[in-house]
Amino acid sequence: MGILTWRRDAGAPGGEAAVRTVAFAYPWRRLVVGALVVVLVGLLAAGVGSVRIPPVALGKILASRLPWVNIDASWPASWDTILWNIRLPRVVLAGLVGLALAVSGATYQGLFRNPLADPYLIGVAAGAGLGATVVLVTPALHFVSGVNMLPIAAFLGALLAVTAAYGVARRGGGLPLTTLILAGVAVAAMASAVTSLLMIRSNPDVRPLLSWLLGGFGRGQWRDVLVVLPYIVLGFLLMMAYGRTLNLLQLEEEEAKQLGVNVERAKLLLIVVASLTTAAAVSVSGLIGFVGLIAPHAVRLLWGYDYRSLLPMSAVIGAGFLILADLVARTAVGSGELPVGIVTAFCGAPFFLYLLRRSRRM
Amino acid sequence: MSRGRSTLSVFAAVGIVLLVVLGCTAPPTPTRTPTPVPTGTPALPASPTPAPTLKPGETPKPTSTPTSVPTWPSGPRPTATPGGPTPTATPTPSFRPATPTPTPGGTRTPLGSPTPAPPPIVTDSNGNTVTFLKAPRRIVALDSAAVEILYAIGAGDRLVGTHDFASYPPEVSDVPKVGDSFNLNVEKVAELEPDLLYTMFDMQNPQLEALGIPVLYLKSPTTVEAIPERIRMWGRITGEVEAAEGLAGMMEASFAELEERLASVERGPRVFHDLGDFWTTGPDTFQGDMYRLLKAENIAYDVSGWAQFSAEVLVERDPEVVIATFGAATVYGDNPALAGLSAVKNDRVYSLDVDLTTLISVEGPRIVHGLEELARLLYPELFP
Repeated sequence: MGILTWRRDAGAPGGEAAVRTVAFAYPWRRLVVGALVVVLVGLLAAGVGSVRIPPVALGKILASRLPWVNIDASWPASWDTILWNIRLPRVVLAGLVGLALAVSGATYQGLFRNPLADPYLIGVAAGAGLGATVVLVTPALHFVSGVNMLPIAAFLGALLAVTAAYGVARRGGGLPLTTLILAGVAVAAMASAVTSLLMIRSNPDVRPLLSWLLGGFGRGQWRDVLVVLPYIVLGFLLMMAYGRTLNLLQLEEEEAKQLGVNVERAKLLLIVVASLTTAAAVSVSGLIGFVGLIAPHAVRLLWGYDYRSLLPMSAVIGAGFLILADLVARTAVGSGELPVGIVTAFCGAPFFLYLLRRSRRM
Repeated sequence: MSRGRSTLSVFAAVGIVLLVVLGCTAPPTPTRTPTPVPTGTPALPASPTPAPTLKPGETPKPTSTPTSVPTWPSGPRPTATPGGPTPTATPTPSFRPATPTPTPGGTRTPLGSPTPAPPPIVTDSNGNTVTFLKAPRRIVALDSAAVEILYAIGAGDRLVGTHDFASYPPEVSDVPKVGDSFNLNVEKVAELEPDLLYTMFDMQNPQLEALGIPVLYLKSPTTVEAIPERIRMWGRITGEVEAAEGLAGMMEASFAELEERLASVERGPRVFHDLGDFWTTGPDTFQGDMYRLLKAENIAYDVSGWAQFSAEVLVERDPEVVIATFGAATVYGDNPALAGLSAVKNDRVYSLDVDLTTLISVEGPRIVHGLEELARLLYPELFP
């Protein structure tokens, strides 16, 4: 099967960090700068688009939303709608989803000790894809008493797939991670097969479905932000809290146990949290590839292997990258849109290759 | 009528001589008439007068479909036109494949062919000419429009196979299904032994031709006016020239009448055609062309083909009418960003049901009604 395992040698920087937990200074400065850059990128993305909103007007429109500010509207009404109801929700959503995917990806990579792990490894993507497909090929299911069923179905599909893989892999009190990966791959294959079957047998326009499968924020609304916010924030904080544990899990499980880690509980909790976070992200954005795989690796190459800083920096990089990718997706082709998954792969891969090349020289 | 017969035999003789000469002197070239016959002009010198019941000036009643013209449905039709089929089974090839290189042994001639007229020639979408030496009797059509046209011109009984999603006319439910253009059950097609397979995609054509199945590949039309031409083409291929001419003439008359009724319109409404998730069609597509004919201003004027439209541009261009195909309309009541659209504010987001979605999507005779329904939605005051 060729599943790569990935361990720190004692001499490698990560290995050191894993064992020597004494002299760790939290990278506050880097984090604050990173967060500021993400906010700036977000503002830039809010100003740029098919309709360009100049910075001053942007500031005025945003300020006019504050309850105690009173500014006369000197801008077209459509700007207000575009900025407030279309662009800002999708910028915020792209940031949240990028954060969720990157942090979950980093967690999976650490948990499975596998550099190829991404948040979709054990079936989240295929399950969500199946859920969304079922809804999209049966328009009668799309809105049930006014509620948009698409995110709900995607979320349930993702959880169902992970639960199935988890249920198969679990033995007695333990959870062999290799078995979990294999079960996840099998469940994903089955779900993808059913998805393809539904697509091929559906008449005849599969374009909306295809663009959902490739991911995008075109339908993003504030409501979606509110729905996924608790999952993503909570999941992020929980995974952050397990940074040190993830460091220790880079050792053999036995060693980690001796160092005081309840390995089974950590595995269970991290899998549940990362899967929930990913499922929430996927339900509003579709399947955006590459971010969850690449953002953590970029952070590793730039700033090292310690999960206590790797997780938050992955969040920053993932959020900023996806906001930019979405900006490209909605401005690259005239009055149309590209699925953002195409952009993340097309723009992200060369950058990552550059990082790989650079790090080899170091 | 006897004069017609003699004209025909002269034509036939000329045609045969021409083919023989071409076949003997220029083996590596396919048969090409000096001027490639455009699909519009009937190749047969048959009388172009429509059947008496099909008056060109008459508009179809809203409730009746063009497919209910007297030519349809019918039992075995008499061979009314010279190019019509004859039941005698002859070993003559009925079809010259659309390959630019001729089969070894030179071009086949229709010497033994019972059709005494120059055979209809169609240029397919790859630029190859396809010559019909004999009217096809067993047709597999992988396109709803072709199916509807065949039934409407009285050649529906020649349809031996079609794609899985063909649903109109009701008779088509008895026709064997062979998958669809992207997932063709080639075995099933071979088993049906068609003497013509009509498709709008050319992916599998080499495979089909290798099996000896004659293929006619024509992309779907992208203009409304191309439909009557397609109907005439089918008339020439099947020999149902009169019925086809009648139907085509009726459609053209109804287009003209529509144009007349819209003559007073200076500026039609800004319209957004939503196929779901803001996927829309540009002016170079068939749907886009319908809006041109209807004088509506498609706000996706800068889209080529199909694209997912940006929600921002949608708000910026503010459509006055949204035509949403089946299942696509729900988002307009759901998304606050769209609440300010003129179409939403004036309650002019029209959700088409499954039947209406098909009606405006299939490039066949029923498009007359599709256009009428769209006109009703776009101009309620003109089309009460």
